[in-house]
Amino acid sequence: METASSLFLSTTVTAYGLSTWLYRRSLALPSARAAAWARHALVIGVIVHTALFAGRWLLTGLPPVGDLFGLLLLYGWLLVVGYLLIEGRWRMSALGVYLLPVASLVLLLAFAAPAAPRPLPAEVWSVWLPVHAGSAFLAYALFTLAALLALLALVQERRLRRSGPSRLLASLPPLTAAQTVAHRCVALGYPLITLTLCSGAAWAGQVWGTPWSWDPKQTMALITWLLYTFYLRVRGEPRWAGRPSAWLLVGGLGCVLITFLGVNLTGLTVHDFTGR
Amino acid sequence: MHLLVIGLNHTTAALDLRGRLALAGDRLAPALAALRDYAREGAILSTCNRTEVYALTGHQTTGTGSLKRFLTDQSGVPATELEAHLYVYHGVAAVRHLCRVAAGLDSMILGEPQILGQVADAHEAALAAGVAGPVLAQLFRTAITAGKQARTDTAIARNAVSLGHAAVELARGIFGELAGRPVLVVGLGEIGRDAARNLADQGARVTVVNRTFERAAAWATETGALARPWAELPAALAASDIVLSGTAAGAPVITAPMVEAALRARRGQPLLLIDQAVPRDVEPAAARLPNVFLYDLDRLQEICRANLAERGREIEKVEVIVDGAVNRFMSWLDERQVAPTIAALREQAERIRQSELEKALGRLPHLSERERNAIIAMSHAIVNKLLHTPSTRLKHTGGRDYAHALRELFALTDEETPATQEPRTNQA
Repeated sequence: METASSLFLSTTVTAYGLSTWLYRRSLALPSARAAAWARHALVIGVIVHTALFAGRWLLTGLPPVGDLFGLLLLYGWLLVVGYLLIEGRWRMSALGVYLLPVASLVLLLAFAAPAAPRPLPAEVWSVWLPVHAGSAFLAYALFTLAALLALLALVQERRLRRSGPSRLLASLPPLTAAQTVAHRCVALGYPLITLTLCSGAAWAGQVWGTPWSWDPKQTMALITWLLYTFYLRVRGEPRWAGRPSAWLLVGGLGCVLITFLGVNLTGLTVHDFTGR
Repeated sequence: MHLLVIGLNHTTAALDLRGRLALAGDRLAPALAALRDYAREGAILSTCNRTEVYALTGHQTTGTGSLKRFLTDQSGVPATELEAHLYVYHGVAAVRHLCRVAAGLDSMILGEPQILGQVADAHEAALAAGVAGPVLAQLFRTAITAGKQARTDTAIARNAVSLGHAAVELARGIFGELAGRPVLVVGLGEIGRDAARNLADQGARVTVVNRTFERAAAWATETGALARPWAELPAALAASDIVLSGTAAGAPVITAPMVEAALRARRGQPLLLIDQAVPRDVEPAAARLPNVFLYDLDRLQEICRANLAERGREIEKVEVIVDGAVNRFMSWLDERQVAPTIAALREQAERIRQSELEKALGRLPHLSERERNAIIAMSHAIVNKLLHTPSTRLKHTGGRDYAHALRELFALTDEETPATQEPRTNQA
């Protein structure tokens, strides 16, 4: 099972790497054929990724949300599928060039995590689990995409203000397009993160007695939620539009990463993935 | 047969002289018809920046003289005046010249797109007039292919080097698809109108305001834009994504407070202001507002200069493509010469055989019929056997340099057969 996992994982990462390279080529010397090939490589990667993901779930009977390996797989998968949807609707090959390495990095991190899924201890399990974990990861993936788009918008804006059009400019998505899609991602992710908080509270109430205990993870999650609430509120205002909101989204991703991983690394939380 | 090109361009002749030499429009067809009296095959490339005659002639020197006469006859410009401005390229150099021209390397603006179409048009016109034969037709086809390849495989034609196109590229960088985007033209300055036309071609909706409403309305009806009165400028500003400003006003007509108000109305959407007026139309302070992208004439020219320099870096790659095209054409030309070369060789051999046979038979007057025939048969056999192997080999090895070598070695230069007079080197 471990070796099969590794094999599938390596294939997936290779496919994503190949796709990245092809996307870069298709942007350097604009060519629709190269872009098509990049998409093919990506789809192959996604198929293998899905197989790994689904295979693990079916074989062990455990949804991939109980352990770090599974979660990283899920996260990477959501990122890539999210990108495919964006690509289909808005054709942003430039996003692919930067997103796919990120997804590959996530999967490479998975190599470091133990591959065998471990069930959560029975006393922790609840019906809220799939709701909570599922909405959380969907939201994280969406916020990651939004942050990447925000970064691309920031780079684009810098290029426009500094040196004007150049060959490199054509390879980044247009400014307003990146900003709009980022906003859509956040708009989709916001109700999800709200659901995560609420379902988390419900679950905590069930298992630990109190729905809210100011546990570091809960606190960080709340801060993240507040940040995105603020973003959605001020985004349209002239003073916050453009660069400031882009930085908000980048900061939001930072909060997400701290909430998801950072807090666990400090060991201060009871909200643990490893089932201890 | 000798391939050559003769002409003048924007680097060798001033506008007035080029104008007198121009053989475009109505003058092209009669000129092509007349060209038949001066060369075996011919084609004329005449644009506002160059007039060139490509031809296949019998002899190098007489051919050059003949084409010079053609230009003098067609334009009425005396040869003495014309001489100093003309350039001539022979053989391989002529081939390379046309390929470089088609690829945009000889243009006033490096990599410009129009020249490729103009070369294609010249090709069609020469074919239609019946004055372009197989060699010139192939030459033009090769050059056009090279030109296309240069533009797709390198960045020689890629980014904007004219102000109007630079404006469009900026707009695309900010807004992406321009279809349906509102564009505002303030004042009727040249560059603004150019850029507006480019944007309208991409599907943008153009509105125009001018101090004198009648002129705005006139231009609007001509171009399908919408005209609004000058007083509505602030409102028009708020409703537009892209603003092209080029009035003759002495002071800024678009003030920073105006821009600020427009931004508030646009709820944070970016605003692109292109100020082509001298003195400025837009207050520089507006550039510091968030989500405002302001470019003045200096910035635009800087961008075009940078892009032109970028194109310059592509020249080497294009020269490689041109090299390939030239080699392909020269191979083709060589192969065409194989059959005539073999024929010329046989002819020469036949001449020698005849003369030697006569001499020998002359010294042997008392031969019988049978003996005479034996000697005649021997002379035929020697010639045929000697030539058989080289002829077959020449036919089957593609004849690249062999035809040329044969001509050199056997001194086969003949009026009726095409020849590459220049040794093939890598230099034009």
